[in-house]
Amino acid sequence: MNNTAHTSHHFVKFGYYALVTAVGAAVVYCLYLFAVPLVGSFLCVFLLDPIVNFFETRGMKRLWVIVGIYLFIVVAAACVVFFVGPPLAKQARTFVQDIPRYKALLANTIGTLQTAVAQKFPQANIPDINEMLGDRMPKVNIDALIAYSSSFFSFISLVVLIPVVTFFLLADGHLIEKVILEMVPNRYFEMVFMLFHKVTTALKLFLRGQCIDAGAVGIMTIIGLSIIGLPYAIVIGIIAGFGNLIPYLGPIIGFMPALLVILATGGFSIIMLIKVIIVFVLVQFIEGTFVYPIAVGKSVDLHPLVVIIGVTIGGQLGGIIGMLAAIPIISVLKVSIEVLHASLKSYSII
Amino acid sequence: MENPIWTYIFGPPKERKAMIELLRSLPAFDGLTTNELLQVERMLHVRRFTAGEQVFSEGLPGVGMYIVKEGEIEITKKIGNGGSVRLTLVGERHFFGEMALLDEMPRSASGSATRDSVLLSLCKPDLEQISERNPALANKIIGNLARLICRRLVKANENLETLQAKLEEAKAASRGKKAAGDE
Repeated sequence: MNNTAHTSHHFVKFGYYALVTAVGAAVVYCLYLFAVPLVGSFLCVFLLDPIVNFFETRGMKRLWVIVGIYLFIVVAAACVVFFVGPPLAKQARTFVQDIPRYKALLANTIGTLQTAVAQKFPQANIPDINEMLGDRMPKVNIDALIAYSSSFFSFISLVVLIPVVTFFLLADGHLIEKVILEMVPNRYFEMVFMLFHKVTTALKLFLRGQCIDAGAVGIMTIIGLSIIGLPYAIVIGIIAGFGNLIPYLGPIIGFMPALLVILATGGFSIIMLIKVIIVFVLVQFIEGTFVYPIAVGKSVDLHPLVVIIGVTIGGQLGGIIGMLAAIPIISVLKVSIEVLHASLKSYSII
Repeated sequence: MENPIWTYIFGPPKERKAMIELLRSLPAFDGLTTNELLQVERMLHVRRFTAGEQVFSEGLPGVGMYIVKEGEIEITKKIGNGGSVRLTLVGERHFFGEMALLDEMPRSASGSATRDSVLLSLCKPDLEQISERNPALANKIIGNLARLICRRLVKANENLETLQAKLEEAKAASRGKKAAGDE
């Protein structure tokens, strides 16, 4: 009798875990559909949470602080749209329109070089590089990009879902965490809670640090390039900021468009090139000496080989976006695994 | 049985009031205002244990303290011969494991439910979150815990003194017996 009860107990337990797994899989599938707004919301929460806490510790109600921050963001966004938006859009459009000019300039330089080589080595059978390059130059249609970004779903995702999800996560994030932890069996509660806390804390610090670092590089590059008078400073600054997410290769990613602009505007000027190099070296020096150690720290040092392999695989899988996303994803995994390993060791599980 | 999801989202007021009264009766939350007690209550995790179920094990890292809402918890410590000895029984409206709130050291004893119990858990990360959002409140809680631990230390020292005196008495008696035997 007791044995039958025991078996049925196990059967119910198995059924419960099967149900939880099925619901979990369904939730993961739904989360996959909303991956972009969710990731965006988590990033916003990681960035805004310290600001909300700062005001909350000074006696303000959390809810009102969040509402205040939202109002501030709306006003700031309106200012950006009215004051920075038009010149930025103009710079981006002109930059893309100038690409054929850069292509012609590049073809001209390659042609001259090829003729010189052919004269020097007449026996060598040098293929026509311009013909080989053909139409491999990137074709960027800025209007198509704008049209895509303002398509209905991406508009809903970015403009409505991210602020709404961010609002609830900021206000009641710990309640969601409590509901999830409620489902953990008693014997694993302490361990799961500690792991969850340590991994999310490490991720929060890392992502917040990376965003601050990339933002600082972007702003410093824009200021530096504007001072020396290089056109498209805002566009190049934004590229440099995003590029900075990739260690070692980041400065090159930012520098390449600047070099192209020097070539395209008024021919090749050594003085302008030196000025641009000074700006990039200065930005990297300030970032490496002051910003990165404070904002990110040493926790995510990746071996250069890992960076190269990661960027290559990212590029193969997802093009430019894959290259940009590869290193942050590898870093997030590295941080999570390190914390998980240390914690599981302290519980004598591994 | 109540549904925790809806309890967390809508929070039955009666249940919350009872929780606040429970917290108010504990020395760890002495001097906290109702608003502050509400902030602590929002952080608590409700855990249900069946009779005999282990709450935590000696030697594993501690995460936080437990308040006994319903039931009873037995605290035991391993002894040399592989067995264990009962240190105390923690009844309703009492708490245990508070040292883990202050330091992430391994648990000094094990805890298990003697009957079906409902415990409220306040973990170290929760206290850290309170500290980030309301440092004055966290200070009050940590101050109360420090006072409690000090009192226990004084009591432990007194016990140690008594035990040492008894040991000395026993040694003296043994020496006396030995001397009498020699004569």
